[in-house]
Amino acid sequence: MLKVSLSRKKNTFIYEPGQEIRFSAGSFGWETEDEAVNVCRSRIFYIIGLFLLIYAVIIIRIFNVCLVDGIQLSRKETIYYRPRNGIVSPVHRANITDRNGIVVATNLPTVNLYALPYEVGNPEVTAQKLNEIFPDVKYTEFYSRLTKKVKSKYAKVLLKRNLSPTQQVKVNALGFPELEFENSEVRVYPQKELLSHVLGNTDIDSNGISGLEKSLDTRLSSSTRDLQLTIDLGVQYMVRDELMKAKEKFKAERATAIVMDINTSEIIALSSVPDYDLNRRDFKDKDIKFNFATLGVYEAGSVFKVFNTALGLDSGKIKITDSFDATKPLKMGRHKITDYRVPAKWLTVGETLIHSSNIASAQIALKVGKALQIKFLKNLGFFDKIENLEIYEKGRPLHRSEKYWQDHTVATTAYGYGISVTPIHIITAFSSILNGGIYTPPTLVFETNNRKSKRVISTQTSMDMRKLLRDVVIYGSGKNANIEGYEVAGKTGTANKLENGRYVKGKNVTSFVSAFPISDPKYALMVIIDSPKGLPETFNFVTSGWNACPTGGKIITRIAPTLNIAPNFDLQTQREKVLKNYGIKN
Amino acid sequence: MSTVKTAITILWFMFTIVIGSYYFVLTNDVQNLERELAQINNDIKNDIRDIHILEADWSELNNPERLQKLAGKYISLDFIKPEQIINYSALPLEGELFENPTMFAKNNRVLRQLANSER
Repeated sequence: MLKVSLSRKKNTFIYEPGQEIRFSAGSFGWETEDEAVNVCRSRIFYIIGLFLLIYAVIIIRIFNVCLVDGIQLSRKETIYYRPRNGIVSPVHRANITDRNGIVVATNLPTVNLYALPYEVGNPEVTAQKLNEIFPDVKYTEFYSRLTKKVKSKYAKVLLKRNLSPTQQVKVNALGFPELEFENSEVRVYPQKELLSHVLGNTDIDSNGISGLEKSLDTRLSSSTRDLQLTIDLGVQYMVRDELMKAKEKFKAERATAIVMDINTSEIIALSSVPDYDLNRRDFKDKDIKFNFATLGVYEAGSVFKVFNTALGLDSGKIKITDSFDATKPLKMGRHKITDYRVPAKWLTVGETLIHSSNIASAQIALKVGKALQIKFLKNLGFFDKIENLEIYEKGRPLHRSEKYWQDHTVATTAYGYGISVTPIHIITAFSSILNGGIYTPPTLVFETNNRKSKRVISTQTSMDMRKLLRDVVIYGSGKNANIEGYEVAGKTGTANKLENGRYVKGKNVTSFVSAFPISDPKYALMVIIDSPKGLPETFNFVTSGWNACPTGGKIITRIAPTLNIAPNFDLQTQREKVLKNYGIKN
Repeated sequence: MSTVKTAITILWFMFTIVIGSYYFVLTNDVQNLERELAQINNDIKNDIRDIHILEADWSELNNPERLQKLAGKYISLDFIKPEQIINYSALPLEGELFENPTMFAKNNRVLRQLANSER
């Protein structure tokens, strides 16, 4: 039988002895055992093939998963299993650091305490216990929140934000099931008031509401990479410290200073006092939040003579050797332009700056003319909000429209009246006058890379301006900032204070804008003191030379070593001094 | 033929067991590794959080106002004055120092005292 069943002969009509013959629906009406075996055999082969295919698929998939690309998760699964693909930072807002990497703003993890009013068993006891842990929140406050009517049994009510770890342990120890914790974050400013006007604030949900926190909110909340500022914390502290002293000494309403890298326009320090601790939110005096350095527009006064002289020299309409008649006031229609304590004589361009003559400056401006003056001021950015600066609070300059820019406007603009700009406008323009003539928009952040520099005056005019402004500090109103070795060059400015559109008698805003060391300028400094009072030691004078200027000198003395500026002494003089110290005759 | 069939069946059976066992071990290993990875990730997360807190702490400790107060209290450090920065060429030469032996000795004594006090 076995032999027959395994026979490979097909469709044969010769039957072997004993072979079973049976009827079926086959082609001849009957079939043999041999055909059934064939069917069975082919089925087995199909099944084996199927299994082989399944195993092959499994093997290929195993290799694919293990060696090629791993398991592709759906979006939902990817979110759930995210730690497998990388670490998710536990902090959700980027740090802000100074230029040396010291953290000035950071988010710290904290917990908030919630209650499930639906679960509260005994609100009196819970409120009482919580009041013992948090004495700053009243019992009634806790009680009303615990008994608040809610629609869902899962609804939560906030009881207290930002618990300290000790408080959290104490609450946990109470063992009340109706109390729950939720992880949260709080924005912390370790340097407190040092960078208050630059950084600004966030609200309780860590959204920026002022300063860089607001203007760079998207950047700070979308990436946890540190945001590096151009501010140097050490310099910032020194500047602020001197400003506080000056404000107190001169009983001023406000004092502001900016230190800028003269070649790159990076802001090294920017301070405006009074300021405030960024970690506190309960301010009664809203005025302390006012950032005068970038938002405060004011008439700068004589500081504008720097730009006027640079314009005159660069236009070619005046030469450095020209003289101007300052013997008598200059009449402009029904107005009369006068000078304050300036010798009544013909003044050279240099003397115009040294003595800060309004009359001579107005004559320079009139010689240059309206069209060139407007073009030049526009070029220096005095007609628009300061471009590119990342801070949110930026002041728009106030000036006459070009249509009404008449001769007397040309004359008054020459010495800084009739146009109001912010301190940041002035120091940026001043830097461009002394750095060789290139205007670069200022910046507070290293990663800003869309700043475009442009030439505003020729290199020769810039070199001439360096000499002229150095003379102002050696011989003129800037004497009090003539720090030996640091070659300071600058210009003072005193302007009547405008309040509600009217000049206030006896109130001035004094400014001092400077650069050092002028042989190879590296940094520019601007100091503004708002409404300083006269002192016996200043002979009751309230002009810039007696307050803003010495403050600038003190700031330069303190910050120059930190900024790696070596004093440039005459070698022979220094050697004589040292030898004298040793009692050696030279 | 029967032997061949049996052999193939046994081979496939063993192959199935091997693949199954290998897959089981692999799954087990992956699960263990995932658990380990989750632990490591959690540790890293905690470390990042701790570093964050320490950085804030460090920044507060480095507050320039605080440092100045401490420097004034413990090491009487004052601001650098421009005249304290001297050009190397302005310093007296060794020979010149002996021109005034008294002053040289006095200065040297001061320097030695300073060096001793620092130690």
